[in-house]
Amino acid sequence: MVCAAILAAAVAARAADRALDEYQVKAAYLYNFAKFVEWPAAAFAAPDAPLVIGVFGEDPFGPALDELVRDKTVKGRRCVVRRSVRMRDLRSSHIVFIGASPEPVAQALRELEGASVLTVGESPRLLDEGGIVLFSVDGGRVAFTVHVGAAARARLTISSQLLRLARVTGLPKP
Amino acid sequence: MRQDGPAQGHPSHGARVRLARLARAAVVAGILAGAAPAGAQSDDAQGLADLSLEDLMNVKVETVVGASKYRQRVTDAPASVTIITADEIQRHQYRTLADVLRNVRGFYVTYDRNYHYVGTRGFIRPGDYNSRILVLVDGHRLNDSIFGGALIGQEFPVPVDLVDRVEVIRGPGSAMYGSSALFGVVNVITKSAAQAPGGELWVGGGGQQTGGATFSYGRQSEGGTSVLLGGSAYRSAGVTDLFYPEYRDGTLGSGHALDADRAARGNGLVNLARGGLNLRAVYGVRRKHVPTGAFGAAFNDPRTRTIDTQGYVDLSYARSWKNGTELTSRVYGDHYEYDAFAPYEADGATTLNHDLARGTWWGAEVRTAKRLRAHRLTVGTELRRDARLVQQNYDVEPYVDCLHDRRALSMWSLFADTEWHLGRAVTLETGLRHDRYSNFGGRTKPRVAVIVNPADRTTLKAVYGSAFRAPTVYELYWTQANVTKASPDLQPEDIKATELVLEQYLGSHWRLSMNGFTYRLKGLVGQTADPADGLLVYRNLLSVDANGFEVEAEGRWGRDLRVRVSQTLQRSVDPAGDERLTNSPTSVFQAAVDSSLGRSGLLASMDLQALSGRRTLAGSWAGGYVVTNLTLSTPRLGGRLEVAVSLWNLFGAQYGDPGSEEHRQTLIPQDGRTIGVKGRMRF
Repeated sequence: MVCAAILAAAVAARAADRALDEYQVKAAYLYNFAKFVEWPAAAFAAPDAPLVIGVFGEDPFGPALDELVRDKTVKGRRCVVRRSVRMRDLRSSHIVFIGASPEPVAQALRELEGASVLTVGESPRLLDEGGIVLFSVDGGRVAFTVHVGAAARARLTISSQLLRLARVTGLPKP
Repeated sequence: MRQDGPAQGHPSHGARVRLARLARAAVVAGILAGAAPAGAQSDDAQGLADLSLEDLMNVKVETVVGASKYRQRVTDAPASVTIITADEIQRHQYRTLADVLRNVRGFYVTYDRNYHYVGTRGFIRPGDYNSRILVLVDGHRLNDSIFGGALIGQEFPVPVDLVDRVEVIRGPGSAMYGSSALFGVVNVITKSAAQAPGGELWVGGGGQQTGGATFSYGRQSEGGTSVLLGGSAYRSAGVTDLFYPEYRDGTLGSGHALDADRAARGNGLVNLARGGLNLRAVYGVRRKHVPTGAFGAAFNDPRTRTIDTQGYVDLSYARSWKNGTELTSRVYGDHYEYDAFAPYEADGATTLNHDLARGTWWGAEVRTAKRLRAHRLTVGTELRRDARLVQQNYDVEPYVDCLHDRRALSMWSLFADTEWHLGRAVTLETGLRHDRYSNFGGRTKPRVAVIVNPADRTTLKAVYGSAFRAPTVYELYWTQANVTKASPDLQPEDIKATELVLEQYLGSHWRLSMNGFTYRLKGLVGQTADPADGLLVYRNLLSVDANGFEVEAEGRWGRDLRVRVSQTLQRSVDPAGDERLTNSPTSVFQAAVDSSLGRSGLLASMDLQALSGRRTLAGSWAGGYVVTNLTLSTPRLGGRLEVAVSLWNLFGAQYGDPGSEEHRQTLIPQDGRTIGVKGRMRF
């Protein structure tokens, strides 16, 4: 009886809640961040310039990120993935994922100071060092924390839909 | 860690060679079946972009390393797996690995005021030091070379605050790991510098005059080297007045063990990584005074104590090539020391006895894996040399040498593991390992698992596995003049187990896990008197048949509320006598609730374990119990400090765990309500 009920429930299952690889999920988050963050117009060279997702350091995504953004547009812009972004080229991306890297994360974040770049990473120190979005795995699910102060300094507007689901830190003192 | 109990046991049944042959045939058939169709890899990326943020937050990404020696999704692993994270350890303030395990579905823990013993599937043998579960730390075997046991209480050599996660892999694991993995594998993964950068300090204290501290320091250098150093110290007076009516003799104050429950511990950990190179070192010492008068030691004598020392160095190197080939190699060296001091009374005089064991071993493992599209093939070999196995026993003053046994052993093994994707929804996993020992010979153990994902939110697994436990050096060679003799012909214990697992998401908040298992354990080692000379000897005496069912529901509502409830029902009997095993509860119920308290940011975490009655060695029953633990923790105060207050056994439940053959006590009473406070600082 129980099994029959469960199988019935399984038939009615949605696409969510399936078991995916951690970095497939993180890649999907990056794509969603592109949708729910507003960049200042000056961050793009032209009205139809692509939105660049850069991966700094090691690339943990495999093909997941490319497959995800292939043929996709976000607010009328094409999405482009760039790997092995060099320190001095960081500022030409719109989203930078900071992977495990032989170069210090803090240095990359300093390089990006004042730029309208959404920095996303996994190092527990990321938010203290000026990063904006920190991924964490909590109870087997990927969660994220947004430093709204750092986002404001980067002149990025993060939609309330995104903030509603995030842990929020770096709020200005009342 | 000695058992000098009375003779006990039944003659065993004949060997079931045919079943073993059938199993081997099944593996070969499985491999052939897997080789034929080249299944298409499911393309998860399709539709990934369509998932909403809410959907993404619900996707389970749990992975497990210990099931197949590589990282795989929990749903793909060829076993029922539970993962406990550092987050849960902090929220519930688990003090030891034993605390972690007692909250794992179907697991239970007993304590005899010396060591903690973990049971699962209704199985704990009296006098067994966790030799039938394999405990790994970062993939390194912790079970020692003398007793085959694993230390899981305060004596566990890694500070629990430096544990990143614990993987519990149910069922036989010899196809991967060889000996000891009869009932499951517990793989404890320690933190790395990336997970714990900078300094952290935990300081705690509480009831029973307990105090302790743990520190860690992690650093990733610009050159790509990452280092984590950590250590902890702990001290407890324990219960300063323990009353055991079994030792009452009519004199004033008799039966009271005063100030005889002290414990102290120190341990340390180093994790060093650079490129594919990993160096890990662990060292721990724990001293525990034993208040129970176990093994006939003079009661209420503060000199009775055990000291366990364990340490290892493990150096591994992993690299992978673009063509899908991976190579992992490692070398390791381990050391284990056991010392027990116990005073014995004879003819009105008291003599202090020192019982000790020393184990030194080293080994190497090489394995290579090849990925072919979604398929995977792993082959490997492991060699191990037990260079020093010493068991010694003597009276200190006047000096009398009672035992001095020195041995050396070697073993080698070959293993292979395959993962075949048969179409989108079906995966076949097969594993086989042969272990060859210099003393008793060899064992070959398979594992076959079929994993089906009929729908996105459903996983079904059918697993057949077999495992063995090599006879321990203690069982083989420990002797006591005129009482026991060596048992050099002892053979391994063998288990065959079949398991069905179902994991199902229900609605948007619930996940349901169910598994049913059945196993037969043969050649279980027990002590009996040799009719020829009346001396006690270990023999492969017993068989155990068991079956059971576990169900668990886990619900989550964002970060604010989590609920986990599980129920295990099982029956374990000796088929010869059709008698229920001792210390085997038919029902284990566990629950945990984590809830944020309004807008204060405070978090309340409650966990509960309820066991049904257990048969004791005396044939009586240890009553069932319900123990509830509660922890309140603050969010970070000022960005640096977190404080947690815990009440263990909140309602002061009175209960006892069954004693073993070395105890005069049928039941050993457990702690009542105990408070603990702990602070965590980052700097």
